[in-house]
Amino acid sequence: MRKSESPTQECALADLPAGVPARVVAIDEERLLVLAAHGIRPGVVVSVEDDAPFGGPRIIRLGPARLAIARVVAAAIRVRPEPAADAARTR
Amino acid sequence: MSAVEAGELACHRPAATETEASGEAPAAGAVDGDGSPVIAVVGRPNVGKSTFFARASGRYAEVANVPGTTVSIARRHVRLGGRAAVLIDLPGAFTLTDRSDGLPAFWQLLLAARPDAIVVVVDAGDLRRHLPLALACRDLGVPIVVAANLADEAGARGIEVDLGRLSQLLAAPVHRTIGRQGVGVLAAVGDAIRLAGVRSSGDRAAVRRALPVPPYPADVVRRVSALAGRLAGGDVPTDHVPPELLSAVAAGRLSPVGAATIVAAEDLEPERWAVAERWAAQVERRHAVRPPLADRLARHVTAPWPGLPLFALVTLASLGATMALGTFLSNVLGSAWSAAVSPVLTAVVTALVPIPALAAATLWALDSGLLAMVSVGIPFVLSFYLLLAVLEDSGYLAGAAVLADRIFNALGLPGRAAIPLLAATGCNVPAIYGTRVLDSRRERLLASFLITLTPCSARSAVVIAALAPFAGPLAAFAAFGVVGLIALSAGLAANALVPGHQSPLVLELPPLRRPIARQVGAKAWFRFSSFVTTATPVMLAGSFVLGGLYETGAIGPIGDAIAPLVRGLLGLPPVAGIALALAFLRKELALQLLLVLAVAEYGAGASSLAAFMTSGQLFVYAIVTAVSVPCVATLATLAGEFGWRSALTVSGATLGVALAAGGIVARLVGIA
Ligand SMILES: Nc1nc2c(ncn2[C@@H]2O[C@H](COP(=O)(O)OP(=O)(O)OP(=O)(O)O)[C@@H](O)[C@H]2O)c(=O)[nH]1
Ligand SMILES: [Mg+2]
Repeated sequence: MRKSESPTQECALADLPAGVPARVVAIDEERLLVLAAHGIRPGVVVSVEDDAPFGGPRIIRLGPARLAIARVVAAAIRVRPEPAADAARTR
Repeated sequence: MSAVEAGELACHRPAATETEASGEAPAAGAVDGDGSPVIAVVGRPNVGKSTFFARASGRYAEVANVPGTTVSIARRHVRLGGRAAVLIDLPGAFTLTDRSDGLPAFWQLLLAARPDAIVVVVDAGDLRRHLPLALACRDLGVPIVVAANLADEAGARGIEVDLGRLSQLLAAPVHRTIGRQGVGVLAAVGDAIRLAGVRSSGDRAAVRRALPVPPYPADVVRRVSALAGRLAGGDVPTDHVPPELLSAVAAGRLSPVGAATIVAAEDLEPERWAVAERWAAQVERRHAVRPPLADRLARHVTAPWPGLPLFALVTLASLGATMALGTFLSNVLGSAWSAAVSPVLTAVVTALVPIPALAAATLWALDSGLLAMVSVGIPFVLSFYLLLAVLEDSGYLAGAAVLADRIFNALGLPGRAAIPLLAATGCNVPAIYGTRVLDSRRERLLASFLITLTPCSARSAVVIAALAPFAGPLAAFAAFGVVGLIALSAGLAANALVPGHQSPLVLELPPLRRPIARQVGAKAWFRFSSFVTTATPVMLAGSFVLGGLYETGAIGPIGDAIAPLVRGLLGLPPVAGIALALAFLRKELALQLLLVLAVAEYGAGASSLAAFMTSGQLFVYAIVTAVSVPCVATLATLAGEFGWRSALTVSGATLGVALAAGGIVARLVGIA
């Protein structure tokens, strides 16, 4: 999937631009359990902080926590960018 | 760490099934042998359970700022306000149903400990992600006490928690704790002991038939209750219910409702997270504050810039500092020994032991053997442990794991494997246990292979002490580079040879924390003293045997026998092969025995190694030592974790790799 131009369209977490808060809308069955154990579940708001070098993991913020998530896993997470005001209210 | 400790650890391994097999619970219920109530410490990885445990029991426990530090169960007797209890420290858990293949599920570990109460340690600054586990423990029907830990860090981030309200919602005591400072720890344990007493003296008939004040939707509660009813009646499709669970219910260690919440975990978990979200919103107060410096720095560790250069810098600085500090200590201790201790020992032994050959062999052990220990083992291992402790406590290791993820992927491992691998630079034994945090047996086996190829502190001591003084620090750096290359290629090959695939990285990054001198000191000292107490006897015995061989002339024929391999392939003097072989007992023997031999041949003074072997030979010798067969403790650990076949395969592979690499390097430097 290609990076969406406007950060309001639903996309994979793998393609979410850094710094944009987005709500998780769906997670592929295969990755659901592992991610859920870390608190990445449909409905929570996450944002991308950075990318590790050489196509390494994405660094995700979830509330106060920072998680490193391999790109294949990030590709399994569908997110929808939050309108700025909403995002501020959520956490 | 030694074989003895490996054995000890092995006994503390998740023993769920053994305990299950031992049958009936004592009549008094789930109490320890002497009647003290059992209190389990449960929480997500890296939340501070072991710190809490250590504070509560007033004794050291292994703590590090990386998830997955505790991998086995520790139990300790504590006494508080005149009441005794047994405190149990467990590995970190995301859910009660956590498991990695080949190992029992977390609830099995927990139940095997037969807790009368559970202290659930949660992060006061991240209740949303920590309360679900507290709810799951409460659902088991065991009384819980919640320790809202890391309260200092939550405060620094502007988060305050209304503990009274949280306690009401949970229907359980909640304590504000700062494990590092001991704040609130004893109060929380005291509460747990009190609740445990209520439970173990309380009537078993009162076992609840429903979830306590269930915060879950009615239909879920009904399903769980129905399941509990069937479990109580013993009519359950066994393919859905693990037998261990049924036997725990039958033995009265777990209520049917508690068991039902484990069976129905998949239905309950989303509800628990929803409840946690609601409750967290109710009890948290947030103030806008400037993020603490540590949080602002954390980001830079994993970013390509300046993360990568920083990584290189940290690696080189650690090695350099170990060399500098180690060499300094070695010189001081070595010369003190030669000046003050050695002459006295020689005089005393010669006077007391009438048989000259025996006196000589005894001196090999007491004088040269201890000298080698004092000038090689102690200085380098101590410096190394100090540095490793600082790195572990800072939280930097997890950052390094993220940077290295792609490299590890090529080796068939997630970046998470970097954490046990870095721990392996201290000692391979706990590092192999540490691979339990990985998902599959394949990953654990591949990681363990790499671990055995990773020079532990003893092997690093050999490399540094053999090379830095005689061939220069650059040679030592180069040797580590060569060893790294060897491990990398062997890992690539192993990944290609062992069937299966790798699971991708999902890792929570710990915050950066300032290492506390007291904790770093305690950790380094703990590891160091176990090194000294276990290594010294082996060192003495090894030197004595070698001395005996030397004094009686038996060493000649043995040397001749192994000469083709040692001289022919590796270009080393044959006696060096004997030291290499004895190093199977303890890796640092490789150098210490060499020094002992050198002293015997050329007299005291460390410079004698140079008379004994050329710098090229030392280089080859160091590399072969660093890579070849793990020590006996590591072998035993491998066998315990994976079985003898895998253990011998791994060890054989390292020997093959070491000899091949040694042969190649020997030809490159022109000594064979
Ligand atoms: N600031 C602060 N740090 C703490 C506190 N409690 C523990 N720590 C630190 O948190 C880190 C993790 O502590 P551990 O006790 O090893 O955590 P654990 O829960 O046993 O971790 P695992 O065994 O890996 O699951 C260490 O660096 C501790 O020093 C606390 O209350 N405040
Ligand atoms: Mg621990």
